[in-house]
Amino acid sequence: MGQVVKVTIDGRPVEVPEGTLIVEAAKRVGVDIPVFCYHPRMKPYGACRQCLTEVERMPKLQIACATPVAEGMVIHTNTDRVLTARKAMLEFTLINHPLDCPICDKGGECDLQDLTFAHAAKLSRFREQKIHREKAVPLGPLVMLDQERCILCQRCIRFQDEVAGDPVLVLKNRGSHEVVDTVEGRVFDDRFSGNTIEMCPVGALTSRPYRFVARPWDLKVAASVCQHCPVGCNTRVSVRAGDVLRLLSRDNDAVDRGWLCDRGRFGYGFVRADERIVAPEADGQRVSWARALEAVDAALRGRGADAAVLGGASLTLEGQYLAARFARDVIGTPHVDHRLGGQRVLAPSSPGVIRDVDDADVVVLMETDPWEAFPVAGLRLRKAAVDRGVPVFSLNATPRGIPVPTLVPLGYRPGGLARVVMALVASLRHEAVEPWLEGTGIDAPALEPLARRLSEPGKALVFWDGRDASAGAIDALVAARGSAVTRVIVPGDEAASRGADVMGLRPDLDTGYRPVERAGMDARGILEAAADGRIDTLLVLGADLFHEFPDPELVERALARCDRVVALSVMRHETARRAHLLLPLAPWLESDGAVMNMEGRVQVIQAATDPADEAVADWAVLARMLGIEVHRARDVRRRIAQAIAELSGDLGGEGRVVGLVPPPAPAAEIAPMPPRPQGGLELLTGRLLEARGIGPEPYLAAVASTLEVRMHPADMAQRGLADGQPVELVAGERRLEATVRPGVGLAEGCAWVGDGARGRRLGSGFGPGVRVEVSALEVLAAGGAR
Amino acid sequence: MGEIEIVLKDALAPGMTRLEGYRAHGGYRALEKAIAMGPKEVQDEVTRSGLRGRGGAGFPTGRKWSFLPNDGRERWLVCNADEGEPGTFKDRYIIEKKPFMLIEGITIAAFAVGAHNAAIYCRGEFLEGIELLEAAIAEARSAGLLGKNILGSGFDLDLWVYRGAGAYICGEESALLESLEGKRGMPRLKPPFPAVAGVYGLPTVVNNVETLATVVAIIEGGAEWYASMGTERSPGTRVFSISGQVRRPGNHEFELGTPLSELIAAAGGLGEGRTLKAVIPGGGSAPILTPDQSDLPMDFESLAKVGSMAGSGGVIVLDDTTCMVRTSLRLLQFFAHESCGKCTPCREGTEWLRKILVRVETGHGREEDLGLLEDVSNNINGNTLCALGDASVGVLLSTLRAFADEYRAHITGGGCPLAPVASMSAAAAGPA
Repeated sequence: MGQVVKVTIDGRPVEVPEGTLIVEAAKRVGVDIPVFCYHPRMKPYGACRQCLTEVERMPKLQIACATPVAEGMVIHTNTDRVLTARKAMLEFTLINHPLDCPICDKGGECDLQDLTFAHAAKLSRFREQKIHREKAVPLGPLVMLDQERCILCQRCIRFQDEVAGDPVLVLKNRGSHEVVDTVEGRVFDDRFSGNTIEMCPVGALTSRPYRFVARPWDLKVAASVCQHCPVGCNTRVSVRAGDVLRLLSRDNDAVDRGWLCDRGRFGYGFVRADERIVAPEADGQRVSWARALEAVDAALRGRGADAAVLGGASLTLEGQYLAARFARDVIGTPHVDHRLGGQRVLAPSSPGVIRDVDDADVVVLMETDPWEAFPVAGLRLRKAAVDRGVPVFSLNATPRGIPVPTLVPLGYRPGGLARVVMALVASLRHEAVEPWLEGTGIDAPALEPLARRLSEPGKALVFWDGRDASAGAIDALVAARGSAVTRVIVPGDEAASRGADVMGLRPDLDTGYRPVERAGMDARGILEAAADGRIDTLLVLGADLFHEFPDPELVERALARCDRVVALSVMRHETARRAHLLLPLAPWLESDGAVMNMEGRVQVIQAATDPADEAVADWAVLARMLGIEVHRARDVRRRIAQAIAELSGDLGGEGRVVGLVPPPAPAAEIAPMPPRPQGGLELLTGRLLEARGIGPEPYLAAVASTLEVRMHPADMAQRGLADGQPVELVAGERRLEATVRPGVGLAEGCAWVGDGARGRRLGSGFGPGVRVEVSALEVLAAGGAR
Repeated sequence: MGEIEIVLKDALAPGMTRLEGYRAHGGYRALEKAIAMGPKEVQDEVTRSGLRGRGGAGFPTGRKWSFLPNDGRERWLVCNADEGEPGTFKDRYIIEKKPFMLIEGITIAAFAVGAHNAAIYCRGEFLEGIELLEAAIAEARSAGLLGKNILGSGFDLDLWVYRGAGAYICGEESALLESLEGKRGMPRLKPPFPAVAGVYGLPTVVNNVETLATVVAIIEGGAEWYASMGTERSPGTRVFSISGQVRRPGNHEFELGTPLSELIAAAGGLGEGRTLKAVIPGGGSAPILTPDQSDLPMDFESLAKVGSMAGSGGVIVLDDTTCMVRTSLRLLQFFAHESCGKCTPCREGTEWLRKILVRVETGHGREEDLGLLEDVSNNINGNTLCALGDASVGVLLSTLRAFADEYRAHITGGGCPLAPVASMSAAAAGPA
């Protein structure tokens, strides 16, 4: 694609890179060639033939979607011959189409409808009986198929095959009796399934939650950014009469490339859920905002180190900034921490951006699973692996496997990451790696392909989960390879963890990573102090401590002992129920503001609808608490820009990356591995996508997973366990029932459990490193032989 | 010009389906010769012979081989034995009568192009042929004629038979490759062509059964001898499957350029008191010839010049009892049924044409249907992803032109004047 070629399209000259498809070149001169099967984010397919164009010196009409331009090419898109073919293709497409536009969800925003009005004959010459097919085929929990409307462009099938890597959709039958269906034995439950609805050029695939709900011309649309995970995919929010009715993508090439995962796409039902908090409450009674704010002020102002602030990783940037100000300037406490899940580093020393995937030569996943922690960026990763063969090494990250053909899974004992990374550093320094690997459960030959790859020149991109123990090792790896060619991204535990970090919701650093005079306690320290009575007042910012903090028993003790718990919350989760003072937050769908994603990119969101009842945007709540007059999020942003210059001015387009990182911290000592426990397995856990973001999500109840344990096949064989068998996990006094499956790249002696199946976290009883026994669960045979 | 047996030579000799019998009739001399010549020389010999593909498109075989890129990648040879073109049964005959000639041809071709893997993609219905091929491959392997170090040459070739599942489209080479890879058989977007990205993305030559069998004869007899037969641009011989309303349908091998009338005569001519009405000269995809063209030389150029094509070599002879609407309908039934459904004009257009033809044949036609049939055909023609679309309208368009009155008579006369059908469902069900 190096060279630029000159071509002429409908008499207009244009210069485009060699290899550009005619359809894309035409867009440059404002010529819109009609397409159905072509999708700019997928490979050309050439099935619908709608884009036939005339190319001089080529006898046949050429499909613009698959014909690359060449120097001097003269292309016509509006000759009689082209228009005849265009009309003919539409006539063919409409032959067996039911034309039920008046009752079709897609009516009003349908490619087939639009192109028919623009290019087709007024009347069809087809006088025969149309082929009748099934009108409502539930392909999966979220996607409904109308076989009659389908024009067989195969965008959906190709998306699943080419982009999602889960080829669950297929064609069945042949010729004009062809239909889209799921492959035998599967339902369409891939986590990216909703994209097929959006890219369907007709109303064949419809969203089950949105089906028959609205007409597009009745909808208002707002530009938002998904806040269920730290990728920050851009969305268009459709609203009618104040109700959020669906989310569509809003292609940001730097972030999402126009895709959404189902967690994000269908994650809007919570807005109208019964669990919403819609008014301030004091001791369980609804109160006015004025009284609530008085009570909050009385509880918190000037309390100093007797009070502490937890959470804030799901607020807007403006809310996070004002929260930091409130904590430090109004309460006067150093005890502030958003990092409830145990992450230490959100902005690593050599920060990467999502787009670094596009020219990375090797990708290393460190204990963070793309499909669970940053799904849409994971699709970009998959594309790099498929198109460019980029190797993806997975260090205890993907025990369930991900559809990345170049995946090299490497397993080791829990707690071993720091030593494994130091072994890689040692290899880069031509030092002995074995001492580092001692007791980790992985040996030097297993690590060698990754070590070799890292020793080669080229860009390495690391996705790291940001836990404390390995921070020094990561820095050492960056230093050993060079920061210019070694980039690190930490996908935050929460959608806006990085924003909370930069805004200063942490005990050691204030807004813009300015050092504080006296560092406070971290989240665990705060909760322990609260449980001991050394802290008596807690301000909880949007978080459910029981869900986000790994030790719910400590949370329980802390909350039970506190005199005052003030919570700002969208949902009436367990922590909100325990609060004495409760202030209702408007979630991002109801709020203007800015949000920062895992790469430090700040993007602006528009409120799609008014806040429910008396709920208020987080920044507005905090402004009221601070007693400052702020009417717009932008006004808060202006204040932030005084501390962080990068945040001034227009943040539109692809957003702006704020590359601020904290000052270097002394590296923690890397401890030797503890001895392997006698008997049993060591537990690894990974937080599932369904346990992220705001919930519970009614639309996703049907796709919630069951509890699953993954083990090395040898460990399964030793216990006589078969794939899919129900098992019992026992850790001390606690037990769990789950289904056992072989793990991908798990070390022997380790078991992995998905944390957050059906939205419920495992808790400390089943934390990483815990020793578990796994045994077959006795199941009563349902009838049959005795 | 005339009937001459090269590929079909000794086809009915006893024992030809066993290695011993084949060798007794000179089998495997060509392979020995080829190995002595070396790959480059074999390829040159085939190029000089002027051999053109016998599958349908008639592309020069030597040139096709030369398209393989020299980029060090593993190469494949695939034999297209998915013979499904209406009126064509010559590949089946070669497979069943001379399986070793095909295997020898594959071995020589693989040797020439440097392929160490070869597959015969065989039409699933050829049960007997598949069994014979598998037995023959086993025999050849144990005789050192396949596998490692063939005839001590150092050349290795693995060959196996892949059984298709009965889709006509899998005779289209890129759909064949998809199917061979275990996927749904649908044509690929081209370029890239199989020579660059074929089976599993590897450089691949796809050759027809008869083409590969002919390679044996060319190597044995030499390019000059082969090119001395046929015409200048269509050298050599070709096996024609002659069927329809002739007295003795069957396979006959003729020099290319032999007049059509000789072919009909070889098949026993027409029935008593019958006159020639039309001939489909190259399988169900080929536009028809009319009686005034019965002396047309049957070679690639001559047929192309009159707007038809040599195609698969299936010659379907139709006499004066044949209804042309019915003929078109029968073929559209076939093509609508066999359209893979990938591209819109073929998927929708063939079925639409079929429905119109059912109406016309059963007396429910309208005056505007004739123009509509032509228009829909033209909208398919040239606009589809693969050649099936063009193929589907070859006979219809040519009969609409040559037998317009007969079509019109169906409309004005309320049905078929030749052999009336009782109902639309009877017409739709197929030929009587």
